[in-house]
Amino acid sequence: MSEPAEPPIPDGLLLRIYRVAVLTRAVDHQLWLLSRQGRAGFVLTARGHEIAQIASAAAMRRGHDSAWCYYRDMGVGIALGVTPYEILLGGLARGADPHSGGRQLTMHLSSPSLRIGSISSAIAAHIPHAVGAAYAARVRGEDSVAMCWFGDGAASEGATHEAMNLAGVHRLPVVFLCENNRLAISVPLALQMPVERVSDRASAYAMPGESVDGTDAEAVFTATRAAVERARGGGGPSLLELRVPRITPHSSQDDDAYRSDEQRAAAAAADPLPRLRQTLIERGMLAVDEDERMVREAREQVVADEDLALAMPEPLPERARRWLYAGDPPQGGVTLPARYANWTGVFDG
Amino acid sequence: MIEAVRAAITEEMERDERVLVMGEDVGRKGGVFGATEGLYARFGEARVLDTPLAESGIVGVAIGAALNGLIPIAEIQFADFIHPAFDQIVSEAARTRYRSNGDWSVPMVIRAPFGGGVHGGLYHSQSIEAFYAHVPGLKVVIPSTPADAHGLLKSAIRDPDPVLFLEHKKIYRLVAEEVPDGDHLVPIGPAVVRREGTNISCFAWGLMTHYCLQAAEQLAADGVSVEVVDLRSLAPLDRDTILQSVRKTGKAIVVHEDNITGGFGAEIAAIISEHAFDSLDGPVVRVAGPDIPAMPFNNAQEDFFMPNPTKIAEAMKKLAAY
Amino acid sequence: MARAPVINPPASTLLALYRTMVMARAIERRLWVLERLERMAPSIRVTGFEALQVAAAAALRPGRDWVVSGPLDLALRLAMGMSPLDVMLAVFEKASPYASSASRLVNTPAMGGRHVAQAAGIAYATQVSGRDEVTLVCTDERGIYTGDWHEGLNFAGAHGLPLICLVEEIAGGSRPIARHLEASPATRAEGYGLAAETLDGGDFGAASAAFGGLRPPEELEAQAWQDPIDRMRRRLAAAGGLSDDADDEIQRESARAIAAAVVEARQAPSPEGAQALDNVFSSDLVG
Repeated sequence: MSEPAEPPIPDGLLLRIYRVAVLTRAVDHQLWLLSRQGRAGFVLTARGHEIAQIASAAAMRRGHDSAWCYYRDMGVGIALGVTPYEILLGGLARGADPHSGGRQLTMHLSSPSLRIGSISSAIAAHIPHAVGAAYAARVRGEDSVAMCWFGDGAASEGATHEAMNLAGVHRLPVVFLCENNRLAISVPLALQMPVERVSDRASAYAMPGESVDGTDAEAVFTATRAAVERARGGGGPSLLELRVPRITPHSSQDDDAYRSDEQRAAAAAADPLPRLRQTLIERGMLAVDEDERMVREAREQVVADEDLALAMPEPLPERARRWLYAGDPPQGGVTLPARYANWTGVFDG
Repeated sequence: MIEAVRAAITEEMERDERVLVMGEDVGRKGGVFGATEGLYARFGEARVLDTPLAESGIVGVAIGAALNGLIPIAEIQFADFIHPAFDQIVSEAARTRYRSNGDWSVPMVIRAPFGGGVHGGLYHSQSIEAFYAHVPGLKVVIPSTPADAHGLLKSAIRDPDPVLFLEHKKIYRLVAEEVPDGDHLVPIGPAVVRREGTNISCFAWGLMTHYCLQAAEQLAADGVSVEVVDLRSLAPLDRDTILQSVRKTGKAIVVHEDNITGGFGAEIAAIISEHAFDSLDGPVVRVAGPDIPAMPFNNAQEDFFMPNPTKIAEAMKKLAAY
Repeated sequence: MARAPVINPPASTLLALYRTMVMARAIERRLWVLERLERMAPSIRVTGFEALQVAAAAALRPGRDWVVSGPLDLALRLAMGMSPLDVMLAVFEKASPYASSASRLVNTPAMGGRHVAQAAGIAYATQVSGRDEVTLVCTDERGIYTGDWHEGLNFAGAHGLPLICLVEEIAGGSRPIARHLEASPATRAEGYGLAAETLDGGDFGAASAAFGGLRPPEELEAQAWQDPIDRMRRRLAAAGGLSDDADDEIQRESARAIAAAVVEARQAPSPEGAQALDNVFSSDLVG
C-alpha cells in the first residue's frame, strides 16, 4: 500500500493536530473530574487515542466527507468542529446539548451539518451505516468518502463482517479505521481474534489493509490520506488499524483491575501527546513556552465552558416525548459562547 | 442481590462441572457488575470465558455447547445489547426441541442485567421482557429479591430448557437479605404474594415489586388494603395466582417499567378480563413507562420515564375510589 | 486434529461410499418426481455434491464426530447413518422415530450462518471436556456473508477449536461467489487464522485427501464440472473394483430401497393435530 513519492504533509498541519489534541485532552480531563465529583454520570475517554483520531480526521474533507464514530472519538469530533462546550453540555446531560438533548451518554455526538452520524452505544451498529452512506454517495454521484472509526471490540461483531463484505463487493468509498487498544473493556486481543492485526482481515474483503502506529501523527495522516484518495478515486474501501494505548480505564465506572501495574504504566508511557510535542520542538515548530501557553489556554477555555454548561438547565421532563416521529419542532442550534464565533475545528486554517 | 447471583453460579459450577460461564468481561474483570467476580481464579479460563464482543456469537456458541453436553450460562452485558442475538434465541434456542420433535434440548441460561433508574441512558436502561415472553420454548424469569435470585437462578441452570434470566440493575445493591444455603431451589413458574390485601391486586416483577410494596404501604395509611403479587416468572406465567387474587379483591393494577404499549401488562390485563371479568368492579389499570425508546440520560427525563412509588400510589388511589 | 490420512481407502470403503452417492442421487430424482406428480414438498438439489460429502463423511467417525448440516447435505447425512426411510418419512410429513442426537447430526433447517456459531460452541464443549471429537459444519456460499459466520469462525479461530467449516459453492449456480465476493471464501480463513483450501468437490480423491489433511493447495487443478458419480464410477472401474453388472445391481438396489421407503412412509401414521403442542418445553406443564 505504500505508494512511491508520497506528497509532503502540509505546512503547519502537525502543529494544528497537536493543538486539537491538547484541547481534546483538556476536555477529557475535565469530564473525568466531573465524573469523580459525581456531576457527570458516565464518562468515556479518548486518552491515548487522540493523535490517531485527529490525524486521521485531518485527511478528510470536513463537512463533505461523512464521519461515523464511536464514543471514544472526541478527537475526531473536535477536529471536525464540535466545540468543547457542546461536549460538556452532553456530559452534564443538559437540555441545550445539541447532539442528543441530554438523552445520550457522554460523547455520543451527532451533527448533520458536520456530517457526523448519531453515535449509538451499541458497539459496531454504525459500521453498516457508514457503508450505506458510501453507497448513497455513489448513487447520488457525490465524491464524498465515508470515514468509519471503531475499536477492536467492534471488529468481532457480525455487523462488521456484513458491512465490510458489502463495501468490498461494491468497492464503496469507505475508510475503515480501527483504533486498536487491544482491550474490549477487559477482554484482551488474544481472546478476541486469532490474528495479530485487525488489518489482516482486509484480504478477506479484497481491500488493502495496513497497520499503523496510531501514536505517530505523520504515519496516521499519510496512511489515511492515501486511503481517502483511493476511496474518492474509485479504488474502493481500505482497512487501517491504528495501534493505540488505552491510558484510562474503559470508563468512569471501570476499575481497570484486570490490568497489571506494568500494563497500565506501559499504556501511559505510550502517550502520543508527549511524542508529538517532542517532534514539534525538535523541528523548531513549537517553543516550550508556546506549548505551556497552549496547554494553559486550553484548560482555561474548558473550565470557562464548564461553568457555562453547569449553569444551563436540565431538559424539561415532558420533552422526553419529543422527536420520536416527524412533526415536532426542531430543537434548534446551541448558542455558543462568543469565543467560538469563528470556530471551524482546525483544518480549515 | 449481586452476591446471591454470584453464589448461585458458584454453587452450581461446584456441583456440576458441565456448568460454565461465558460473556464479555466475565473472566478477568468478573463482570461489569461483579456477578462473576472470583470465578475466573477459581474455575479457570475454559469455564469462565471472556468472549469477543459479539452477542449473536455468544448465544450461538452457548447453544452449540449445550447441544454437546455442557450447561452454559451466557451473559449479555446489558439487556439493551441482546438484540443482535434475537435470532439465535428465538429461532434457535427456543425452537430446537420443538423442531427436532424433542430429540435435542438446549439447557442454557442467558443472564442479562436490565432496567432503568440507574443513569444508563438510552442503551443501558431498557426492559426487554415483553419481546421474549412472547416466544414459546423460552422461559423468562425475573427475580426481585436476593433469595429468589439465588433459588431461581439455580433452578434455571438445572432446567432442561433455555431460560432468559433478567436481573434488575437497580436492585443489585438495593436489597440485602439472608440467602438460604445450599440446595434451596425456587421453582420457575409460581408467583409469590409479597403482601396480602383485600381491596386491590397489584402485579409486578423486578424493581417494580419493591415500588409497589412502598405504594401499598402509603395506601394502607389511607385504609386501602393492597395485595402485591411478585410474578417472578413471565413464562411460564402463574395465571392461577393472578386470577385468585383478582377474584378476591375485584380490582387489578399492573406495573412495569417497559413501554406501556404491547408491554407484558397488556397480557395480564387480557387474562384478567377474559377469565375474571365477573369479579371485576373497576378497569384493569396499567402503570408503565411511556412509549418512548428507553429512558434519557438526564435526571429530569429519566424520572419522567420511571414509574415510582408516588406514581403507583396515585394510580392505586384512583382505582380504589372507582 | 491429527487423523489418519485418507488417500487410498480400501476398495470396500470406496464401494460403500459409491453406494451412498448413488442413493443420494436416486433420492433426489425420486423427490423431483414426487414434487411434480404429487405436489410434495419442493425437492432439493444435491447433484454434484455427492463426492465431496461422502469424502467428508469418510474422514469422520459416525456417532463420535459432529456434523452440523443443512438440506443440501443429503449424501453426507446418508453416509453418517440416516436411512432413505428417514428421508421419506420427513417428505411425507409423517412422524419419524429418527433421533439425530444419537448420531450427532445437527440438522439446520436452512443454510446461512447461524448454525456456524453453534458448531463453534459444539467444538468448544469438546475442547472443554477434553474429548477427541471433530465438528464439521456445512454451509453454502450464502452463509459466509452473515455476521454469525464471522462470529462463529472468529471464536473457533481464537480458541483453535477442532472445527471444519465446509463451504459448498454451487458451481454455475444462480449465486456464484464471485458475484458477491471479491476474494475467495478460502481467503477469508486468513482473517480467522485458519487453514483453508479450495477444492474441486466433484473429485472424490481431491476431497478425500483434503479432509485427510494432506493435500497441498498447489495440487488444485481447475477442472470443468463433471458428474462426480461418473468420475467415481470410472475410478472404481479402473481399479477393477466395479463391473458393469455390479454397478447395475447397485443402481437397482437403491431404487428398490427407495421404493420400499416410499411405500412405508405413505403408510406411516400422520401426526395428530394436537401433537403440535408437544415438545415446546421438556415437559408439557406450561400453557
